[in-house]
Amino acid sequence: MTTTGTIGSLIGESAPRNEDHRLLTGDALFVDDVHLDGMLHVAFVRSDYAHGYLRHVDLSEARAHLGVIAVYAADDLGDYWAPGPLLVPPPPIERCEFRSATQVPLAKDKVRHVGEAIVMIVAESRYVAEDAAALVEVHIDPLPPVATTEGALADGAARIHEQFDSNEAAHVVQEKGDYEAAAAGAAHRIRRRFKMDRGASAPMENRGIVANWDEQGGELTVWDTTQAPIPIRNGLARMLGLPERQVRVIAPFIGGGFGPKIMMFYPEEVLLPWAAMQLKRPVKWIEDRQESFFATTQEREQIHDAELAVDAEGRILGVSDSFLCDTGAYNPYGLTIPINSQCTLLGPYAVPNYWSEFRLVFTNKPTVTPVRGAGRQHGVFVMERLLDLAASELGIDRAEIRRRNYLPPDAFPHDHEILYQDFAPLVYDSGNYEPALDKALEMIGWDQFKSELRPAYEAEGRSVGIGIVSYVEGTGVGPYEGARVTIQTDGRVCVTTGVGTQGQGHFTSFAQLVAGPLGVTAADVDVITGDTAKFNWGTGTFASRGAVVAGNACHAAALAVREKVLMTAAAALGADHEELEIADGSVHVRDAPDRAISLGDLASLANPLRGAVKPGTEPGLEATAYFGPEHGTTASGVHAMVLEVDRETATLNILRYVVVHDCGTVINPMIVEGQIHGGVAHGIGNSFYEQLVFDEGAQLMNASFMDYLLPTATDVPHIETAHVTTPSPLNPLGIKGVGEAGAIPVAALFAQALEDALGSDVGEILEMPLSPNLLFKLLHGD
Amino acid sequence: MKPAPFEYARPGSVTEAIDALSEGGFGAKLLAGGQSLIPAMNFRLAQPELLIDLGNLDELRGIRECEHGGLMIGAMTTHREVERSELVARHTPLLAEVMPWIAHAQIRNRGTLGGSLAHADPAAELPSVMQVLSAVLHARGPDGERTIPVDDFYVGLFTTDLEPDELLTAIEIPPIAAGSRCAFEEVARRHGDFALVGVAVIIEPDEDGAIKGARISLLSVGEGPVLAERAMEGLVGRTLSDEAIRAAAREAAEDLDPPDDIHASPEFRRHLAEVLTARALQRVRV
Amino acid sequence: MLIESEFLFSASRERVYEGLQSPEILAKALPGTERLELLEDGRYEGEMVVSVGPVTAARFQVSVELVDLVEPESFTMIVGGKGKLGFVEGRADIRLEDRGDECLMIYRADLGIGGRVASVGQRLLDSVGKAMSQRGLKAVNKMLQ
Repeated sequence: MTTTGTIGSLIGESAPRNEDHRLLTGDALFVDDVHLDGMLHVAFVRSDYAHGYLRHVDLSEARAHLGVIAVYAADDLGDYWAPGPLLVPPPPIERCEFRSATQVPLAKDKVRHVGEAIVMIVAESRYVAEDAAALVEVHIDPLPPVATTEGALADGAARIHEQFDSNEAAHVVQEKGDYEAAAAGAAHRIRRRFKMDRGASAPMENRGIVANWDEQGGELTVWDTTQAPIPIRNGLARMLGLPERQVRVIAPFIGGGFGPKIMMFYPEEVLLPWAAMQLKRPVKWIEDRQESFFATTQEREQIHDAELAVDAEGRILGVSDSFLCDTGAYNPYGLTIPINSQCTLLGPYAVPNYWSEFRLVFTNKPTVTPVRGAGRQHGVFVMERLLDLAASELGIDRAEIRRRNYLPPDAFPHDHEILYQDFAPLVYDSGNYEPALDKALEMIGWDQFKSELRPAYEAEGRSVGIGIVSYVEGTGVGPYEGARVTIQTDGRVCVTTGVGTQGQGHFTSFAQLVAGPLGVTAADVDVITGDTAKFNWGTGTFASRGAVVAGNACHAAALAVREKVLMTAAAALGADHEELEIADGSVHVRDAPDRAISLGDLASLANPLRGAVKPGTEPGLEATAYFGPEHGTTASGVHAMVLEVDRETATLNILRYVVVHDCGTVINPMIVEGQIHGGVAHGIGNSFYEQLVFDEGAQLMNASFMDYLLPTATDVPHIETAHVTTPSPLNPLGIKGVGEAGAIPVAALFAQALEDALGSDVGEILEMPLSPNLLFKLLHGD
Repeated sequence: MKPAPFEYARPGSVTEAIDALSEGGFGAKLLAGGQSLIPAMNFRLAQPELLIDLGNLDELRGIRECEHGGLMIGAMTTHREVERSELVARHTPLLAEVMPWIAHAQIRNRGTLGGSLAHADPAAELPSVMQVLSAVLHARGPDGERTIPVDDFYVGLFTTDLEPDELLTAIEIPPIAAGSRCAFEEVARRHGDFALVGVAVIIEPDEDGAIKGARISLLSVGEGPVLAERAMEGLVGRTLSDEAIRAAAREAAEDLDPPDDIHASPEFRRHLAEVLTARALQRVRV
Repeated sequence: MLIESEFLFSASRERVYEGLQSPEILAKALPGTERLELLEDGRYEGEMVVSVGPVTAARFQVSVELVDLVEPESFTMIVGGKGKLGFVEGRADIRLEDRGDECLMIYRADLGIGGRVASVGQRLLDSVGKAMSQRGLKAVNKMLQ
């Protein structure tokens, strides 16, 4: 590919977001905005029991209720009833036992978690559907529920999936080196148990589906709050016996996803299109908030028994970790979360010996699939806490122990010799960790806090602590994404891609990547995404991969179009390639600005109604490109915090919060900052506010925002951010992902800063999340 | 979360409202600001057959001074009106102080004083404030009007002395003795949340600076607002020394039997009750 | 949910023990009971509506079984309630102590609560449980006079 002149770039610009005007003026289409003539509304009858045999459902009264069109239980689905597909098979790890049990559209024979869907009601309105739901009689013979992760493997625990002989869904061991040998001679071995609990994704927009079957036109259209419209289209087509070209899935504006909207083939997703085809009327289901606590997947429950072996200087000799991971009632997402935990535990450190074993277990709680961080925070919590404990035992400064263990900048690419969630070996592509640590220490005023601020606070009777933590994050995994760039005859540029969006600014960041090479502004570029009719190939937005994978595809397509522009312009202007420059929406001859032609006119020329198009060329100014990275990139960062604790009321106040992040090349600093802020807010939630509380009956005790507490504007501090950049060698633009980074190390940071603020009064904090109630218990005993 | 079907009435006068309430019987529910009732209906925890909307009853709105120097606040006056009222700020600073602690501004725009007091949520701030202010509740029913001193008003969990066919019409706050000092303290997990524990305090000093009378009421610690009677009696005749405050705070907490929920254990609530009572008493020291 | 408490009846132990076996008096112990019948197999069945504050629509089908009867000292109540808003299941261990003309009941109720009342009403479950049990026993006491 020849390059002529300098290729323009808008990378690094904080371009105002293209999507904001529509979003802020209520002009954006969300799934609940879709209204079709004759549309019917769906509600579900869900299980009140966490575990039991479903003996009988009596639908007669519901069916007879005025305004009810249809009522379905499992048996009414006939052959269509089937467990969902296994979305992520286990990676080719040598020591891996895996059993798959995926969710079903409507419960048949057994219910396995509170809120599991049993009956679907279709009625004239959601009000009527809920009235009818109250008329359904459900007969369940309750079974003892498995309410805790440890309880799943206890003797005599009820078997959730009776085709298996236990509740163990998987048993995996990954290792490198020889931990026992390394630890035998260690100066210090620190062993603890760590626990982390469940949280919800709680997007502002709940899930929703509208399905419309146009029998005459032969097209099924499904609006779905999904992060993966193309795989949904493919799966629905297969399930419904339709060719893919007859199924169109549209994910319009999505009001936040955070992971659970990438879970695919939820019961409702599979049932609504089927019902639309059965009834030959459009159907709509919008999840209400209370429903979302049961019907949408959740995450975060793990128990680790981990040990760190270090030498007398605090250098890591090895880590051994044995953990339990809860997958809830079903495991459609395979081993993604625990493998993320396994791999992310290694962090930015040189860990010569590692033994990591986990058991994934079924419990009678809602299904677990990735939520922002997707298991990485657990690895980070374990490693960072172990390092803090080691630092304390050895009398080493907590920042210093990290510095001593960092992989040096010349250690890359670094192969950790275990497998990552993308089925490829865990290889860190690039990184330089010390400068981030130094920057964070400087910004938070680490030394000054210790020498001046802390004594001053103590003199005032205030309990204030400081913390600093370090982490890496595997991002930008394959398999691939694609993009098609087109210059329209009005001069506007259009880029269409298959990756969906969750609201993270794709309409702007992708626009920037395309605008640069084509000499236009980001505002001149329209990004089309989330519609399977517009682009046919792709996976979805998850695992912090959108910018890396789709971004590079967009850029590559833009470069290809740039070539066509130059070729067409060269012919039109009678000039040579090398003489041409693209800027401000037109092409001109260098030093002869009047010899110019606009991009729009070029687009018209490239698609003539008469004349000929040269053989071997294509009409129009359009190109499609795909990008698939070899394996994921490794982003990294350091978070630091100053935290004040009111010992009497056990409440907290974050005085300062610093993030130094390395996500490689930054496309739009403002958007990156937004991602980090959002992630930190989520992390603060997971540290001190958000916890899904289940009782011994596996009943959820807080299925509303009254009792499931999200941090609000008054709970999230001002976040100071800075960047370090080590571009990724794995993609032309050097981008690494940043979507989850903010959320990943926060719990570890909270624990450290709290211990620092409260000293020996609080003991060791080995559990997350905390709360004033728990903090009170730690401070005052039971 | 859609409510079950219901009938709806919007009476134009208090008399009409009372008639509708009597006719409706057990299945009738009064709608004031709706900030507690509508969510309960949306969850289908409440399924009234008849909703009687008091929104038209302007005669139940407004804040005015009484001849005896106190305040009379109409039951349908919104929290927002109370929060912004210059009369309230002047006459009853304690009431002005507590308003920002009640939920969020949006909820205060619609929630009413009467609605909150009649709903009797154990975690509500206003019942405790009314208790320390020795407020008098005015009610009207088919048999006529009556007044209920606040100490007789709260009789159990979510239960007031109001009969099923009675309507709360106004809240009378007697004049506050000159020199009185008041304070309100609360701990919630987030700004605007239900209180973990709260306390309202008013003390009336005598000429020598000792305490002539003290009223301490705690919220979110039991079935309704709880008067810390032992602590109140113990303060009479004393000055607010550190020791007196410590003793009063301890006594206030010891007598409690707080509930257990996912946000706080009974021990934590008792501890917070002691801490907040002490803080409130410290603030009213002269 | 665990409710552990006591109640002093102004009636003799024998009277209390006997009274609690009759459907009319047992119905009083569960406030809001609209109907309670003693069936042939010794179990009781009926319907109750729990009405506390905002919650007015909690209607349950109730079943009660009295087991481990040791006259007139103690027995255990196995309780089950099922409705649209959820279910309640559990047991209450009851001990009666002779206090002459009076009788001290010491009870320990261990109840599992599920469904909507549990997931959105959690904040109030403890208070409601305590309030209902005290209210019920007061009503029983009145009836025994």
